[in-house]
Amino acid sequence: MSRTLEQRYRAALRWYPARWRDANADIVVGTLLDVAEAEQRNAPSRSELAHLAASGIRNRLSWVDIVAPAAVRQRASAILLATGFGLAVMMLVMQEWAPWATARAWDEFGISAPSFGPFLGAGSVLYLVWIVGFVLAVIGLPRVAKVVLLLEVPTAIGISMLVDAGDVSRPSSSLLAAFVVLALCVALAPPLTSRAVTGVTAVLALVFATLAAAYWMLTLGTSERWLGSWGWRRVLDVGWAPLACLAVVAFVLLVVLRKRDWAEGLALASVVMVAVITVPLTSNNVAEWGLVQAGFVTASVLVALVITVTFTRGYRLRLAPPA
Amino acid sequence: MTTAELREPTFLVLAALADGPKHGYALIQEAATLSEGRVTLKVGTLYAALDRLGEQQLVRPAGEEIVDGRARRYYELTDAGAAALEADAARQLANARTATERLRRRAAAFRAAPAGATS
Repeated sequence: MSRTLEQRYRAALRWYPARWRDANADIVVGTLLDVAEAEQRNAPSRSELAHLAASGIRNRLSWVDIVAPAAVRQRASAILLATGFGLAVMMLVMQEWAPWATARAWDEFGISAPSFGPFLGAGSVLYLVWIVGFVLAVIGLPRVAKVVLLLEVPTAIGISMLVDAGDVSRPSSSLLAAFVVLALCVALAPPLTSRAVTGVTAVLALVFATLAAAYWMLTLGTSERWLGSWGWRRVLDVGWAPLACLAVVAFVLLVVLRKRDWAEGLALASVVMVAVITVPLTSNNVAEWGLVQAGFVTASVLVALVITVTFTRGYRLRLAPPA
Repeated sequence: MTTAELREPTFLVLAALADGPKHGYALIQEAATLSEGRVTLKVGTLYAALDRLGEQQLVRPAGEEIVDGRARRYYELTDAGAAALEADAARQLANARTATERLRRRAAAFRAAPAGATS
């Protein structure tokens, strides 16, 4: 019987990497058998197996801490949270707030203005959820904020299932996916517990919101205003280049000021943003130009990331403590 | 040495090793005793903590043996581990003293206040 129990424990340890098992499996199985004997069990408990699985997966993911330490992931999360806030505010104000809506879609094509309470479409829920999550994070409730931001996932799924794809006010699939990816990145990163990080997030969000407001003012009454998926695409076409320049300048400044965690966090956040905007930029009829732009930004960001990691984080490659 | 606040399982593992080397199961028993049965360390949590403490050079392996066909590895506290434990114990003691003193003052104010004026 004990043999079977040992075999089951060894099988449960397969969640851990082989290298870890080679060094520790006999010891850990010995301890598990001691615990089982003390509790007069001849089978692993469910909670024990679940816990070993979770611990094994965490162990396998320990490389994440080496490539992007918690401080870097936290700062990348702060930047993405602020970026999402800027995007949410811009989309909410420019496209969803009914009294201010002067979109080109229905002006030119004779489409009647949709209605969703004081907003035009269900996309407003997506943006409002992000804004609430952002506010909670900034006022010092980062864990509650994560839960709220995770609501973006069912919200996006709900919108894609319930709102007809032909509805002009429906956010495009790439925009829904963008908010889901950003929400997951923020939710999976360490919470924004540092006041400095929270402060920078708030300032950055203010910058994005100002840029969004400027764009909104400049396009008021012009032919730049589009609804739904057209609007998102237009924002990307106009906004990607200034944002890329802003990111590069900020990255250089952070390196010069020796704010390494922020520089690496910005590089990591840029990689996520490039992944998010590449799909809509390279779709439709400007695929080639979008591909060139996105490829250029991706290459620049990756090179910056590699240079930073190589020259400023070399000591982190020392995985094992000296004997 | 680390000056960061220790999480409770980590604190209990270090405290359990303070009076000498112990193997995994002994550490689980000792953590339960120290916490008066409140904390039961899972085996996965224990070895994750030991891995981390080993990387931080707060504990180190202190030999292995086979007992009744089961492998056991003993761990011991390093000097840095003892210093980290001492610093965290002092921090917790200071917090407890502050809280106790404030509760004493609150009780004194409650006694001094006229009846019906404390709600």
